[in-house]
Amino acid sequence: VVRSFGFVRDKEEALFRRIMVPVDLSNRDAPALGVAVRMAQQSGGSVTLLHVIETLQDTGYDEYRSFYDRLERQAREKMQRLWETFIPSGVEVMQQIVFGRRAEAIIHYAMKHTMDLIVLTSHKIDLQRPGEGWGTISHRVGILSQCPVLLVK
Amino acid sequence: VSGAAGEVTGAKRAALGCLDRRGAVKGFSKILFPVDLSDISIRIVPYVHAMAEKFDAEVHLLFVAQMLEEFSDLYIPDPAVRKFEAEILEGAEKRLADFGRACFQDCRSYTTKVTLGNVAEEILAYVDAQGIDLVVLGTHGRKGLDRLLFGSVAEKVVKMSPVPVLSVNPYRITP
Repeated sequence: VVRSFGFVRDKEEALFRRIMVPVDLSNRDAPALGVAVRMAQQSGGSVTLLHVIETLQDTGYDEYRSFYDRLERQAREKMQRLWETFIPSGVEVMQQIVFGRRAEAIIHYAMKHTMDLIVLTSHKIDLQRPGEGWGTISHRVGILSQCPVLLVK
Repeated sequence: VSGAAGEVTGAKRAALGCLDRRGAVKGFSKILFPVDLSDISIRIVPYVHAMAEKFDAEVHLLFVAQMLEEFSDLYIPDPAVRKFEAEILEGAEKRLADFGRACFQDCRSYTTKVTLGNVAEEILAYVDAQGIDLVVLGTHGRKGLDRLLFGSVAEKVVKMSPVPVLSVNPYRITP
């Protein structure tokens, strides 16, 4: 029977070692962070916190450098406070801030750094407003990502 | 970056809650793995195992037979349809049982279920009826077009599921 399905038991522990959590540094991050930390603890893995600073379309970075610098400083402060909450866990946690379009930047970063899993807070789509909100980004990541995506609701 | 500096407080509470095992983060006790019994399903199995082991969860295997819509333009006498459905269901149940034995025999607990109907709707109904708290789903199915586009079934489940969904691209992973 096993042969007919071609299934060979793999070492599942190794599947979720490099975990990435895209964060918008608000309360919405909490469910995804909790699950990611728990999984990293169990697999002996690491968690990368990724914050994407959304850039204005069709404009260069230099054009709004001071604006982006201010956003980055604020994000780093919040990210640092968030990072400090992980210290008691013993989980290795890294912080990253990148610039770009959120969904694309998340997918690109995960591919470039060979992440094993992306954990995102999501929500059930509101059929009355299907195109709005963070949910759209999380669903796009869930659809387009090459690595597994856990959408925590 | 939006919001006030204090906004990470909630995240901090939840993260610490998880670490302290005070119940702030809910685990997964019932995992639903909808399968189409293709080689794609096989590729997702290690991920289902990993989640089941991490969270000590029971696994629910669901196969939804969908065929009447494909023949909607043809006239088929009712008794023939009923006989056809019964044969399909019987075959699917046997095949799913084999799949379960082959892939999940060493799981703490697994169950199998075969239903008939719209695949996405049946998956969502099963989630609701069985109190499922995680769905593990391949993002590509049996159809050739699904290799290029996200399967309509998976897309609907990802968007409409009231519970967390782990979506896995079967073409990226090494089985």
